[in-house]
Amino acid sequence: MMEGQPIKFRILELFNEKDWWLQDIVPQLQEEYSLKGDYGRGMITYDIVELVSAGFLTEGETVIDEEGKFWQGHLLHHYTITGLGKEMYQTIVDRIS
Amino acid sequence: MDVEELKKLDHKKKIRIGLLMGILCALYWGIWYAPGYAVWNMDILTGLTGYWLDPEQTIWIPGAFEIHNPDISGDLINIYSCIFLTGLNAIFCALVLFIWNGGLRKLPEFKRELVQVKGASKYFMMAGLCGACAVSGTYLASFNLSPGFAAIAGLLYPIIGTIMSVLYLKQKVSKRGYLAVVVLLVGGITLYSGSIITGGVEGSGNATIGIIGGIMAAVGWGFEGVCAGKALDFCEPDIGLHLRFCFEAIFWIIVMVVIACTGTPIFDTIGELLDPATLFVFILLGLSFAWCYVTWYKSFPLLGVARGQAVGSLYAACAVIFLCIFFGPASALGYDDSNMLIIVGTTILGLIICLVGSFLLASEDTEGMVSLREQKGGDER
Repeated sequence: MMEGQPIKFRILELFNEKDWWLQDIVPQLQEEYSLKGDYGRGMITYDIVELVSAGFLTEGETVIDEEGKFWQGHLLHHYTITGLGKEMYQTIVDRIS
Repeated sequence: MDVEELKKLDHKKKIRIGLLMGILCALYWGIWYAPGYAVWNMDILTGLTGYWLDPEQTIWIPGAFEIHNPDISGDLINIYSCIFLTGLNAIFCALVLFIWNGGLRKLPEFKRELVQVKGASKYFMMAGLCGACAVSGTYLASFNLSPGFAAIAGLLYPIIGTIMSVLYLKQKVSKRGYLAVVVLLVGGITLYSGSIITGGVEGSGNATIGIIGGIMAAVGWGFEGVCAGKALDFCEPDIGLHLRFCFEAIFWIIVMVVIACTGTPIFDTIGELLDPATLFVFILLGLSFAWCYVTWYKSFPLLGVARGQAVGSLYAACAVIFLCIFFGPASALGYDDSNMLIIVGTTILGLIICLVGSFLLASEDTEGMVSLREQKGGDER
């Protein structure tokens, strides 16, 4: 439903479906929004950070990317949508449908 | 380094970037008052408002408004000029941001958010209207009292921002935050008292309009932060503020066209934009204001609306310093020999008290504050 919509709408939709690890969700969004390369990866990661700050997502398990499969030496978080995030997603769905 | 240490570092980094954004916002915002004040003495505005030909103020050259309607009041000329200037300011900011977002490869996101009126762009429309109130209020205060007064009057916006962020956005504000609001209120009263007692500088404009302008600035920016904060929850900040400026520009273009349709020659001097010096000043206006917003909006998700606004409040000190450097203290703070002591005293004291209030908000301990909003009980999946 949110494919091709503003990127944060889509991020909330994906998290509403299931929990995600950062290294799994970012490449999918990079593909969908044609945001290839390190710059696109950083931009989408920052969007997720903003959604955490807003209280829509919460960080769970965290590991260090030692093998460099996503971003060597950086933290890889497992994210879960919060109740507030679900509410916001539903509000967005109601508004745009 | 283990995960916990890295997490702490990561959190500190976010707060540090948020603070850096807030401080950059203060610098850009502060310097914006310099071209914003200088432009009043350029042909593009003096051609509309009129000007004294000689320093002794004996020969008055009427502007386009006065030539068109000799009975027009000085206050109406001020208001029309502020509308003209605020409109051009918004248009130049929107243009600068087209280049900015084009460079950041974000224009496709601009289109996606623009067409989502109910889901996204209506909040930026509201923010644009609140911003229009704030910026025009600033210009009114700047012209009718002094740019220094206008800058410090705007400092009161975290009062509205903090109250609304609690009531509307449900963000966390501590007792210290509330204390800061009280301190800001005291600072505001101190600032306003000087201009109310003295009535501003004789001949520079209508002090009452200047005071109303100051209130418009504080209320407008406070509500803008709240509207923006609501929309930023699910939008890109760079795109959000770009939309905000586009809507503000459209609003002012409509207002100016309506004024022009009444026969008022508001576009008479628009051709002056082809003059390189005038164009340069307007580009500076656009760059400084647009970038101040870029950094301001970026600080909100990292620090929260209340603290983002508070750190950005340092702009007033930057503005007073830049204005004193470029125009001298008398023009910057708006005093003459008769009221120097009261104006300088209350302005500087007001500034210091407001900065203490802002510091109280900005220097809160942020440990453990991963999310800026209260989580509802049992909301974890």
